[in-house]
Parts: sequence; C-alpha cells; structure tokens
Amino acid sequence: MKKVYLYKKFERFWHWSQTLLITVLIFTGFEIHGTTNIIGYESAVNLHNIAAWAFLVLIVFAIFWHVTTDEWRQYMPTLNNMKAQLDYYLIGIFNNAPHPVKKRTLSKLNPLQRVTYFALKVIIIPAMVISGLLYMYYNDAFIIFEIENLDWIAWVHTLGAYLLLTFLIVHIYLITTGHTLTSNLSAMVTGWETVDDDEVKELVEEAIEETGLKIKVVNDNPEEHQKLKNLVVKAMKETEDKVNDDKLKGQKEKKNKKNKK
Amino acid sequence: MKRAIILFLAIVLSANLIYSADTLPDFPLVNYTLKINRNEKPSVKHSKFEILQQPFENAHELTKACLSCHTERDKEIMATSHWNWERSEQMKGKGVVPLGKKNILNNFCIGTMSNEKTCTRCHIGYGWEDKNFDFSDPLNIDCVVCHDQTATYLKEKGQAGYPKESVDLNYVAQNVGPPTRNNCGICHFWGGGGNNVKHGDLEISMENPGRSIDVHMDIEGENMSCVECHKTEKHNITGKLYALSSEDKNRTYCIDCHTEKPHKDRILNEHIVRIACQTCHIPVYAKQNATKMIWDWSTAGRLDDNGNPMHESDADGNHNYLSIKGNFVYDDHVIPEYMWFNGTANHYLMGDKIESVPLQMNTLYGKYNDRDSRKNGDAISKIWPVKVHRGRQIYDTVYKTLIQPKLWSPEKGQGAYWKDFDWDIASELGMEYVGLQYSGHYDFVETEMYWPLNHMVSPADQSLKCIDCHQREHSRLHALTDFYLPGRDFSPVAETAGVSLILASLIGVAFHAFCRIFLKSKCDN
Amino acid sequence: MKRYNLLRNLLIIIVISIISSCNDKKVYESVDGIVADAAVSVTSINVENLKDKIDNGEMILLIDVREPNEFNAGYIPGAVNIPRGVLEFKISNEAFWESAMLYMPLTDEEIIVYCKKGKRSILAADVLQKLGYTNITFLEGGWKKWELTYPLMYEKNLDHNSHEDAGEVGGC
Repeated sequence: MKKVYLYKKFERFWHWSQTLLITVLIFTGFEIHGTTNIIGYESAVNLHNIAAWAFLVLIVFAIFWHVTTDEWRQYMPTLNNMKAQLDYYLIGIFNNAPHPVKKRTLSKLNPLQRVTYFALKVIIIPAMVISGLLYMYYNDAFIIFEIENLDWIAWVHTLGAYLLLTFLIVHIYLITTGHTLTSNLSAMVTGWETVDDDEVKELVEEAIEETGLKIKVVNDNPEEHQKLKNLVVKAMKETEDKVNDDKLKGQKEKKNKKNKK
Repeated sequence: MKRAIILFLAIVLSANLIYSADTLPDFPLVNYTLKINRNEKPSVKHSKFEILQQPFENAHELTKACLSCHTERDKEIMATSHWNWERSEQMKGKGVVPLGKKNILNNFCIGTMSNEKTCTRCHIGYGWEDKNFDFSDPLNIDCVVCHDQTATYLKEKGQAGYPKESVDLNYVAQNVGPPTRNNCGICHFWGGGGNNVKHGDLEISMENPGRSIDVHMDIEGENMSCVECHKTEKHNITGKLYALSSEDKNRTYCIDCHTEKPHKDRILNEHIVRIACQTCHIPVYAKQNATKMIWDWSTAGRLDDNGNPMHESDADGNHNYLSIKGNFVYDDHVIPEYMWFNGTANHYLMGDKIESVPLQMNTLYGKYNDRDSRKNGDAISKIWPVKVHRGRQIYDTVYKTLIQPKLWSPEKGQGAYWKDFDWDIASELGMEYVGLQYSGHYDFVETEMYWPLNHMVSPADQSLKCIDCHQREHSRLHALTDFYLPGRDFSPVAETAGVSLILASLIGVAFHAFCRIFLKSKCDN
Repeated sequence: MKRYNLLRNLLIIIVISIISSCNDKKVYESVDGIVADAAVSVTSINVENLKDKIDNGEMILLIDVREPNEFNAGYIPGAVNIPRGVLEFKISNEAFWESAMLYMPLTDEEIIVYCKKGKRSILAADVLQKLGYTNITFLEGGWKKWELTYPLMYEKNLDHNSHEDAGEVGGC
C-alpha cells in the first residue's frame, strides 16, 4: 500500500470552508424559510448574510485557483464508465467488488462525481448566488429588473436549498464507500490517499497516457518490458523521496512528467 | 492551516457581533432641537395687558380683545379646516369636493348636520347652531380653546361652543401660550362621545404619559406637544387625519426628523421602502384605556322599566350598551390590522349609493403591485397599521344611501332620536336638513372605517421583531396575501418536492447502508 | 484510544446539556414567558368552532375563569364561572358542582376554558391537564374575541352589577 498526495492545502481548505459555510447557510436558510425556529429570525438572517458574503469571497478565490492550476479539468462531466459506476453503487458494492474507476492525481473524480459537482458548480450554486443577491437587494432588484414580486426568486432559492441539502446527505454517506469507512474522509483531511501497489503502477501508466507522453517499445523482449517497468518504478521511488521534501510537493506532477522522459 | 481557520472564524464571529449590536439610541436626528438645548421662556406676559383685565360680557368680547393685538390672525383661522370644518379634496371618480366634519359621515356618531348645537362643542368658534352661522365674523372665533394654559377653560354641553359659565375668562385670557397636548386633546381625545372612542391612539393617558405609552410625549423625555410634530405656520397645521384626507399633501412625516436611514442595520432601512415606520413602532394601541371597536346602532332604543334611557357596562367599566346609541364592544391593547396605503383615500359622501356590504366609509388606496398608480403620481404603497372600526348604522333601503339622522335636540318632542327614540322622524328631519330624500323605509347596514395609527409610539425595544411578521402561523401580516413574504409564505409545490427529495435520500442512504452491513457480513463468510 | 476518548467526551456533553435543560426551577423574565411555555402543551379552539358547538347543542363544559365582576358584566351563553384563583380546588369539589346544579366533570369530558383575552385560560388549561383532565382546550382570543365576533350573543347578570343611574351618558 502506498500513500499518494491527492489533495493540496488550498483544495482541502476550500472543501472544508465550503462545508462549514454551506451547513451554516442551510441551517439558517431553513430558519428564515420558517421551517425551524431555533436561533431566532434576526440572528438567522444576519448569520445567513455573513456566511453568504464569506462564501462569495471563497468562490472568487476558488475560481481563480481552479483556473490557474488547471483543476477545472477534473470537473468536466463525462459519460465514460458512468454505467459501470452506477452499477458499482447499486450492485457491486454489496459484493465487495472493486471500484470501477480509480483515483488519479489528474482525475480524482468518478463520472458520477464529475456530473454532480459540475451541476453544482455551474447550475445550482450560481442559481443560489444570483437568487440570494436578488433577495438581499430586493428593493434595487425590483427597480432595476422590473420584477413584480419575490415569487420566482423564492422558488429558485428554496428548491436549490432542498437540492443542496439532499446533496449533503448523499455526499456524507457516499464518502464512506472508500477502502475503509473513513479512508476518504481522512484523505480530504490530510491530503494523502491510500492506494495499493497495483494501483500505483496503473497510476503511473495512466498519468503517462493523460499527459500524452509516448513510449515506444524498442523490442518485444519481455525482459526489456520488465526493465522498463523497473525503471519506471525506480524513477517513481526517487520522485517520491524527493516529494517528501516539502518544497517539491506543489511541483510533483511536473517532476513526474520530467522523470518519465 | 490552523491559524488560517482561527483567523477566518474570528472574522466571522466579530462581524456577527457588530451586526447584532443594539440599534438604539443614537440615531440620526434633523430639524429638531432637544429640549435641554432650547430657551423657551416666553417673551410676553399677557397678564400685564390692561385689555385682558377688563371684565368680559361674553366670550366674543374675549376674542375681540385678542384680535386687537393679533390683528391678522382671524384671516389665518378662517382659512383653516379647524374653522370651516371642511376643505377641498380631490377624490377618484368624484373630482374636487369639500370634505370635513361638516359634511362627512362616519360610523360613530354618523354626522354633525342637524346636530350642530351639540357637536360644535368641539368647534373652535362660538354659536354654530345651524346653517345660519356666520363663518366670516371674526368675533365668532374661539382663540382660547387652543391657547389656554390654565386647564380651566371648558366649553358647555349643547351650547354650540360657548364656554361654561364657571370659566373665568380673564384668568384664561391672561394665561395663553402655544397649544399643549391638553388643548388639542380636549377635543381630539374625546371624539365620539367618550375618551378614546374613535382614534384608539389618542386619549387621556397622553396628557401625562410615560415612555411606554408614547416615547415622544413621555413627560420625563422630550415631552413633545402635538404642534412640535404637526408643525404649524400661520395656523396652517400640517399632518391631517388620514381617514379624512384624500390627497397626499400637507403631511407630517417621521422622516422629517428621523431621516430616511434611521436604523444602523441596512436591512431595516430597506424595510422602510414598503413598510411605514408606524407599522413596526406602534405594535399595539389603546395601551391604557380601551377604544371602541364595534358600534351597532340597530339595537338602540331599548329603554329601562320606567321608559328612561339607560346604560350597561362591560367587565372593564366601559359602556357596552346605551339606549341612545346601541351596543358597543371596547377593547384595549389592541393589535392593529394592516393595510396597503399610499396616502390617498376615498370617502363615502352623503347621497352616494351603497354598492357593497360592508360599506367602506373611507377607502384607503394602495396595494403591493402599485406600479400603475405610481406612474400617475401617487406615492409608493406601504404597509400601515390601521384601526378598523366596524358598525351597523341606519340607511335608506329604497334609495340605498346612508341616512343622516337628527340625533340631538335640547328637549323631547323635536324629533331628535336621542330624546324621542323614533328612527323614522329622526331620519326624515335629518335628511331634509341635508337636502336629500328619505323614502320612509330604513334598515341597518354593516360599515367599516379605517383609521391609520400614528400615535402611541412604543420604545424601540418594544417595536415589532422580525419574527412577528416573518412566521408561518400567526404572522401580523396574515391578511396581506398579495405578495411573497419569506418565513410566512412558501410554495406548496416546492415544499412537497423538496421534502420528498430529502426523505427519499435519507431512506435511500439508510437502505443502502443497511444492505452493505448486512451483505458484507454474508460475503465475509 | 483517541476515538474512544472523543466519543466519551461527546457523550458527557450531551448528557449534561439534557439534564440542564430539564431544570424545573427556571426563572422567567415576565409572565409572558410562563404563558408561552404553558401554551406549548395545550390546544386551543377558535370562536367560530365554539359557536358551532353551542349551536349544535354539544355537551361541553364551558368554564369562564375570570373574576366574578368581569363574568357578571357579560359572558358566553352557557358558561360557568370558576375564577382562576379557585379553579383547581373547585373543579373536583362535589359540593361546588351540586350547588351549581351541574354534573361534576369526568377527567375525559370536553372542557373549554376562557378568560378575557386568553393568557389566564392557557395557565388554567395547563393546570387542569396536570390534574389529569385529558380533553381541555382554551378559547383563542378569549371573551374579547367572542365579543368582537358575535357582539350580540352574550348573557349578563345585571342584578349583580351595582351601578348608579347617571342620567344621560354617552352623548357630547
């Protein structure tokens, strides 16, 4: 078993701040909606607004990060292996079947995750932000956009809230479907994901594939194959050692590419 | 990493503390000087004037004495609605009509026409008994009813506004000054035949109120008199009764002193756009003495065993039956009803046909979606707290108009209802007096009258809280359903869909987990 | 080991918070707090439903918990006056019910209590529930709401009212 560094500091900070803010927003939001009455309406409104602004700031930083680190590629939705993934969750998981899609540094999300998170980022969260801002500045919205009443804004915001709460429930449950019940959780806390040795090898192979690095086999000799494999594994070990040095953590991917050459 | 989290939390928590800080008491204030910063010593001592020391034969002579120095004030007075008991108002569908106490009907004592001699006890003049009153004679003006500072000046019952015999006119004349709350209140607190019958938010507890009754009139606070808000220039008093004024002019507004951004909280200042200040800051009215909520004229006329008029009281000592007036219901600590109001109104005028029941004596215009009326120049509609007075009063079943009955006369046998208890005769005489027809057939119709509340402002800590309106079950605004209010309203479709989604996900997750646990143990074997 | 400690600490915190919230000796800022707490466990009926019950001749016991002078000035037809001060003591006192010429209510009988505006009746309903009466409701809005909705539907005990005849009253 090996540990692979999948989630960098900012990513984890972003994930957990988001968790806190979304939880606060959902809790205070339902209070404002009239479903509960625990901390009082005025406190709920104030907290909701503070959390909303903090969330907006976080979103700005996150968008910047996604663009500059190319992380946005992780969220491109795909239907590849979608059926396999669904089958796993609905049937395979009960038979201790292996995950159909493995985590890679360059592809950390399975297809279901990709589609869900993409929908969140592009549809649901923007809808909540826009409807929330219209709510917050309703008088100006009425004048500028000639809106007649709050009905549609409320409808969108409420529905989005219910969807987010559903997401929260399902997400918290599905994170228990890793190697162990808490392996995914500790990965998002520490950044290090446990993978077994076979996976490491596949990891490297897929990394090579993803980056477009081509390797031409010089001859058909299985010994040569083995040599190449050993070379790669050795290079990987060297890289790993170097990566244990903090400075190189951020440049791990670039180093990997270089080493493969 | 930890440091980042702590810093983030610190920012969030401190922002929250700032937000939830108290929003009293240092709010912006303009156009007003606090009492401690003023020098209010009078510049004149009226007791030094010889003309006010001469004996007065009658009240007219007192007025003559006043006018001998204040020579132009009579012209000012004669231009006011306090004198004329009417002013010109423009109303939708009716053009410009004279409107005032002289000719308006309400669902309290109904109207003054044919009852002048008793109703004009609250006129700022002497001798208005009937249509022959001379509004142009300056000596008919009663100066001291508003300006007396001795609290001894009282007008006699049923004497068309002349003072009681016992009043020492010299004493009164030598002690005059700007009107106090008691001057205004001697009429405006007692309208309708008793304390707090009509307004609900103007009554004798405001002669010397504490802070919880009204923060502006608090005797230990600013102790403001009526005219300090109802600013007056040359006897033109601003801020007239909403129930009787159809146009949105010559008003007095809270923001005149409190500015348009009186709260520290941005959200509260945003509320001001669609909610009148009065709504949150007058959470309850009739705080000390009860006010009349219902007046049913139809049960009037029940006399006692000796054939004399009688009265009955309710548990709090307020009348709930009078032979002359019928049944009443009083209430105290009343929670207002709320209506959209843009400052313009309409009124039932004598002779109008009764189109719908309950008949609205006045109609407050305004609604949530008022873009069209704003294009026509109306102000934006806001939510206002209103006292709704409900009643049943006499109307002509053939002509479908309200009847102005003759209610008062000094003796029996003159056809007044309060003496002879005959609706037919009273209606005939009353309608003849106002120049309208009476068919001989009467009955009683349900009416409503709307009195926007402006007084009995509570201290800020007793103002309405968010939850008072933003709640599902007992929202104060439960009757205003033409707009979406977060916390009170919700879309049943969205709720059903959302809750089903949550339930489905919870059940699904539980089921999935159960299967994993259950089947895992199987697989392990 | 770490996890065990965490769970144990969490459990202790939960237990302590539960115990502290069950404290009966809570001190309230105002009577409104007491009324609000009592209102949670009692049910209300509105004036329209009460009128329906009276019109349909249902067998209900309507108790007016106001003071006698309030009751005599006007009460809902059919109500029995048991002031709140003696309510708990008279409700199960056979001699009282005999003198009122009524049957003593059983613990499952439908009893509706009302006062002037509702607050006293909430406290009254709460205490009657504590005494084992299972079918208690209070009238929302109380006598005032009834009076405002049905101003002509009431009874009075005029002879109990001492009142001087003050001649013509109520005019100007």
